[in-house]
Formats: sequence, structure tokens, C-alpha cells
Amino acid sequence: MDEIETFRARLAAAGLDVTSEQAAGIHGGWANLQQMIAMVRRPRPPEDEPAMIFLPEQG
Amino acid sequence: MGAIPTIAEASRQIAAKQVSPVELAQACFDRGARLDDALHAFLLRTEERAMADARAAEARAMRGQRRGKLDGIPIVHKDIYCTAGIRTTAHSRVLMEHMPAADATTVRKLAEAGTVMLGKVATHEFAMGGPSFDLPWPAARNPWDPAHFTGGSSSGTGAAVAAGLALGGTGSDTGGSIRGPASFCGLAGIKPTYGRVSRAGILPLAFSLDHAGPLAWTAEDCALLLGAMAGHDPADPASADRPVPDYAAALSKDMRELRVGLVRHWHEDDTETTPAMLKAVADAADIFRGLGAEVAEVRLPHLAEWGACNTVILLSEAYAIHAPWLATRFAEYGELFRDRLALASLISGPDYVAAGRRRRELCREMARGMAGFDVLLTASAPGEAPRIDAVPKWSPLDKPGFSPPGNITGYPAMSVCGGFGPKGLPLGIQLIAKPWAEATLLAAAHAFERATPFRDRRPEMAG
Repeated sequence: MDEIETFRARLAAAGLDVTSEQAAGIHGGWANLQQMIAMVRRPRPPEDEPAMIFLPEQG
Repeated sequence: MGAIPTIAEASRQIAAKQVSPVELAQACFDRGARLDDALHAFLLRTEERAMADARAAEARAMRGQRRGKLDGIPIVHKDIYCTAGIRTTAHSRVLMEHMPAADATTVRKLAEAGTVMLGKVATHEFAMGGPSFDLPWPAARNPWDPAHFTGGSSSGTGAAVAAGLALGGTGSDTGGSIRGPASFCGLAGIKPTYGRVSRAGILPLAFSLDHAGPLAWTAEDCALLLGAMAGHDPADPASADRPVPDYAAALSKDMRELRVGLVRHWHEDDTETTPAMLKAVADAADIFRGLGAEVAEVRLPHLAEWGACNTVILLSEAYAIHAPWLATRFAEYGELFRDRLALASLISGPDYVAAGRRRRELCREMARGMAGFDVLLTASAPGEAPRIDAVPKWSPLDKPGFSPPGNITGYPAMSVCGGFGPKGLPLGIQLIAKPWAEATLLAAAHAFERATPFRDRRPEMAG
């Protein structure tokens, strides 16, 4: 199975049933998004501030 | 009518009975008839209603009973702002027949202020994803050169206001969708503090990043529009119950009290920025120094950090909204929107939470960086608007932009025209202020506009 078909299978598992051509179109942004996801994943100790609530006054 | 007035000028002329709201609205429609075949700003003209509203405003003006400075001012709404009984499509085939039962809170408030709604204008599909050429309506074009991009997603508002098809309009900003078109179309556009303007009745893109705000020719006009749009609304759970200052009255702040933080590394090091834009930002810093402000450098996290955090949150929240339709109506969306959003199906829940935690850290960094300053100064965009047929499909993920810090933190931010590049297209500079300090932001932008000649020049086609 080539890279696009593998990617298409991942999309299908996530609930998106797309054609091979459509999967190829989506795949063009995947490498960049993976880099971005890696940037927000940061190892933190479990006692690190857990809040993700967004209140600009506390920014 | 001759030259295109600003909102403030038109308001004074209406008050002095030198011009009527009917003439103003008609002049906008006449310019639209001449120019909009090339610009594609409008998705729908509401001419009958507009002229009725303009006649009512004229009658109030003649009786000396104007509702305020916006009474009789012709504006447009981005087509994600719901309008009762008037089609609201998000520029998408998916909502081609969508007929809201009620106005968005902001549409209602602007109508109550006496504005005259000329129609609904183009947006990138669901406020993300353009420029697209496979939607039911064409993409809006830049009045400074219709071969070029308006920026987005508030593309129709940018085009309409720059060309004088309206004197102001509404936009939304989840990752730069007010500031981008303001920059490329040579306008003033403000993304207020998160919670300042209700989003109730505005089709959402990403709940925790969406902001509503105005675009207009000047900061003064933005102050007038924002004053009408702002205020607490229980219908938006993020709406803040805070008093709304008189932004227009606060415009004359003494710039000798202003402390400007120049985030030089954002535009000089963190992303590719044109020499013209670098010069525009450097010149802007000099303008503020000349006005007596204190300008000093400040360092904040790399632009890519803000962009990554914004993108992961934006795509996750937007996918939560669109997942059912993407699963069943995938082909009805335009390629850019659906392909960018389909990627979000692969973002995990823990990654979304990680982005939220990273967001808190970035907010703390911003608070630290801004501690000694009233406003931050940087670019709004990498340079002049690119050709509309040369915007890469994955450009939002390719290079970090200048807007995400404002969306991530919720801090108010605005773009004002900082000059023109070698192609004669506008260059926007960006100012960012502390939460709820829109008055300071608008005053700084107003002072900058008054100290520069850039508001004297309109797109040639609008002449």
C-alpha cells in the first residue's frame, strides 16, 4: 500500500471516507501539521499547571 | 458625489445637512455598479432595504434626531454575520440556502445605531481557506490591483471598503482575518480583545479564537464602529461584562505617554519579510519616536510557536463544528477549506489539550513582554498582496504569520496602512495592546495615520 493509500486509510478510520485523489490533496499539508503538533507537545511534570481555560485577563 | 468620505467625514456632512444618507448609499451602489464586476466584493445587495433605511436616517437627520455618528452610514456585513430573513452563506455551497431567523447581535446593534446595510460580502469559505475558485461565487479581488489577493478571510469587506463600495464593514479574525485584508487592502482593521464584541449569530470557525470587529478606511472610523459593536451579550458565553469606553473621544491621547515595544525579531528574523515591509515597520517606529513616544525592543516567543499553537487549536475546534458535514457532504465544500480541515481529523484529543496548555504559557510570555509597554509594533503581513493566482494551497501552514499572537492571547490588535510597496500595493503595520486597551490601540493608530500621508491615497480604480 503506498503512502497516499495509507493516509487515506487513516482518514477513513477518523471518519472521513475520501477518494485517493482527495486523500492526495489533503496529504500535502500533513507534514507541516505534524511539525506543528510536535511544537505544542512539550514534556511537563504531572504537577505542572493543568489549566487550559482561556481567560485573556489572566494572560 | 465626489471623493469617498470617511465615516467621520460623512457623519459630519449628514449632521450639517450637506449630504443625505440616501445620496451616500446611492453613491456606494453606483460605485459598486461600476467596479464590482471586477472586484466581486458583494454576494448579495440588499438595495431595497438599504434605501428604505437610508430614507429613515435622512428623516431623522432632517428632524435633528440622529441616533449618533453612525446614523445613515452605509456599511456591509461579512457573509458569516447572520441577517434575519437575508441569506447568509459563509460563501459556501453547504449553506447556499441558509436563511437565518435572527440578526447577529452585532448586526442588530449596528442597525440600531442607524447604519445602512448595503448587503452581504465575500469571505473565504466559512472564514478560512481562500482564495478559492471552486465556490458558488468568485473570490473577491484587491481594488489596488484586481490581479492581486485581498487577504482573508474578510475579503469582501476589505475590497468593498477600499474601493468605496461601503464606508465600513464587519469582519472576523481567528488567525488574522481582519488584519490580513486590512493590510493588503490598505485599511484600518481592529481585532478587539476576546470577549469585547459578541459573536452571537456569527457563524463560528474556532470558538476560543474567533473575534468580531470592524474594518474601515481609518482608525477613527474603526473607533466609531467598534463603539457600536462592543458590549456585554449573554448570548455569547465568552462575552465580557465590562464598560465600553467612548473610543472616538479617546483618540486624542498624547503619544508622549506611549511606550512602544518593537518586536523586531518577528519581522526581521522569524519569517520571510520583504525589504519594503521591513522599511515600513522601521519608519513606523520612527514616526512614533517623532510623536514623542518611547520605542524599545522586546523579545517574545518565535512566531512559529504562536502559529503552531493557533493552527492546532483552530483546526481542532473548526473540525468539531464541520465533522458531520465533512463526513457526508465533503465534495460540496471548496477544495482549500475541506482539505485544510480534513487534516484536523488526525489531531488527537491530547494534542488539542497540549495546545491549550502551550497557549497558557504563550499568554504568560506575552504578559511578561508587554509589561513595560502600551503597544507592540510589528508587521501585519510579510509584504504587499501576492497575485491571487499565486497563493499556495498550504500557505497558512508553510510560513508563520504575524497574526496568531493576537488570537492566542486574545489581546487587541490592529492593522493600519504603513505605506506602499514597489508594486504600489499597501503595506500594513500591526499594533497590539493589553487586554481591554482598545482605546490606547486606536489612539496610537489614529496618531500614526495623522502623522503620515497614507490616508490621502485611494485605489486608482475608485477615483
